[in-house]
Amino acid sequence: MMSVTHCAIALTTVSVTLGTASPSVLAVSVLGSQLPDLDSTASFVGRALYPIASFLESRFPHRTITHSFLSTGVVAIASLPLCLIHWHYWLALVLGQFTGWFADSFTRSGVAAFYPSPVRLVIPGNPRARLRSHSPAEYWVLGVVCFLAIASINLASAGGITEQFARSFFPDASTAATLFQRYGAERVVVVRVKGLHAHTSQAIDSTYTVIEANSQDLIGQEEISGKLYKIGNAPDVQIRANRVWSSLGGAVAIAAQEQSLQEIGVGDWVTRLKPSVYLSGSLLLEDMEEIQIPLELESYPALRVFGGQVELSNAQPAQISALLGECWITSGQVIVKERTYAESRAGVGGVSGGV
Amino acid sequence: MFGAIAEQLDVPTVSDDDRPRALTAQQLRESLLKRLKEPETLLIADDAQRWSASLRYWLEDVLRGGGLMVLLAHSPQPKDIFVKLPILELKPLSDEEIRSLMVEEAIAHNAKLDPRELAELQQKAGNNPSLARRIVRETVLGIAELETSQHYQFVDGTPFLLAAVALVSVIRFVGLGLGDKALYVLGGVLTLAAIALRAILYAANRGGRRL
Repeated sequence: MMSVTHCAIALTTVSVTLGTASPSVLAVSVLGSQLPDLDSTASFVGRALYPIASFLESRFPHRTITHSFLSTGVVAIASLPLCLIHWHYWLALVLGQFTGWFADSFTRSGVAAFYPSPVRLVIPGNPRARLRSHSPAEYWVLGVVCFLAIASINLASAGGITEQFARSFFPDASTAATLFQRYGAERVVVVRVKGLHAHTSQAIDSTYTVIEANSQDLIGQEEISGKLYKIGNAPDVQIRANRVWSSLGGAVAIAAQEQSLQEIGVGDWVTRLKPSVYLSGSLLLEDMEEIQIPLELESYPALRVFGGQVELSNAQPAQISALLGECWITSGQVIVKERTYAESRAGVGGVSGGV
Repeated sequence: MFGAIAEQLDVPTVSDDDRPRALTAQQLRESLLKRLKEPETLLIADDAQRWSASLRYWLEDVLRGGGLMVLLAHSPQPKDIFVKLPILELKPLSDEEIRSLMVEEAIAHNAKLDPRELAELQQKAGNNPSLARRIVRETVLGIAELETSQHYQFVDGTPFLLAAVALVSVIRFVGLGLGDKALYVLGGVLTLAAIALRAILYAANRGGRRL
């Protein structure tokens, strides 16, 4: 089998099994895939390490000692120090070496996989169905494996096969929620939602930035209006989603701070906050029985009166000021969350996998 | 065959009366039986697996009569004389011995093969000395076909590969256990791919059939 075929097979295997697109890890796997051919001075690695290749060649038949489980065991033990850098490097080398010789069992001569036993491992048993080096069949195999390698690396760099599979074939709120739970602390998660408004039954086709998610539903901020909506299929959502296409945007930094409030005017407190922060928690106000907050049906109710307190859920200072600006806070406990976006928010960025 | 044995053991093949006549097969058998009972007489039979049933039955008579014999056989059938003798199985020749044989054969044909060629050719011969010699002769004649092995020291790894590939169905159960819909469906797709691969490999293993 040609060296390039070994490289492609090792690269694909390591990319799929480790879910990585790291160039250094893949380079190590390619290096590992060449190690079995150390028993031939005609190979690339044999020419690079000529003394070792010459020694092996003069004592062993081709595809025996270096094409065996024994050799994989030796490589696995000898390369253990690579774990000090990262275990991905070690596994990439071992997997690369293993696939390097195992692929040769699909060739006419097979390999002495169980060396020192001279028995050769062949797949399939029918010699006519096995590959010959440089044959058209091998070029077909190389083409298919290269395609798989490119697909695998692309998928790995975009979050992995399962994530891309879910985003492609299951465009729903739970997929977006999973994506937010995985990347929401560092990246902007943007969803395009097609569905119905739960109360007006109007068709919805809009884009939202996810600011919170549980296992099934999202709270998203519409990019145009800045309003919050709960998106999903729970009874209390504003937008019943039929399709939710999720993607990753630019970087975001989230800073959260807990505040305990005692005897302070709402207007006074709100002016000290940045206008872009999100507030969650509860406030006990003076004259609570006089507080009336209109029922919000169109968008997500960020403020509501519950249990003798005002509950805030991702409320923004402007909303609090508009509804409770004249009130006095007796006590309160609030989390102030600030999302700072990087300059660029466009496009689906790559998520580096692996190391 | 009896004649050849008789000649080597100096057993007369003709009668010793006034009008010598060739002994019948039965008479020759009996003469050889008597001769083989004598001390310091050893019958060595090469390629004993090729000997006919009648010769093998005669060997049983020799054995019953106390004669000494060594039978050299390749993959003998477990029957008649072969089940009545202790078996000493010879180990296959080592890689070094096969390599030496190949070098000797090349020298005998005024050819010189470098270690790279020898390593490449040796994988075709396995540990079979006859095959090793023949492959060298074919190479010297320029009719050797690389990558074609004719020895029988191989194991078909297809069932093991299929068993390993079938393990991808574990992904389906992991997805089910974790409640991960994507993993569950992906596991199902991979399981179907494994079943398709099994069908292809089984078809490939059926071998060639003429149209």
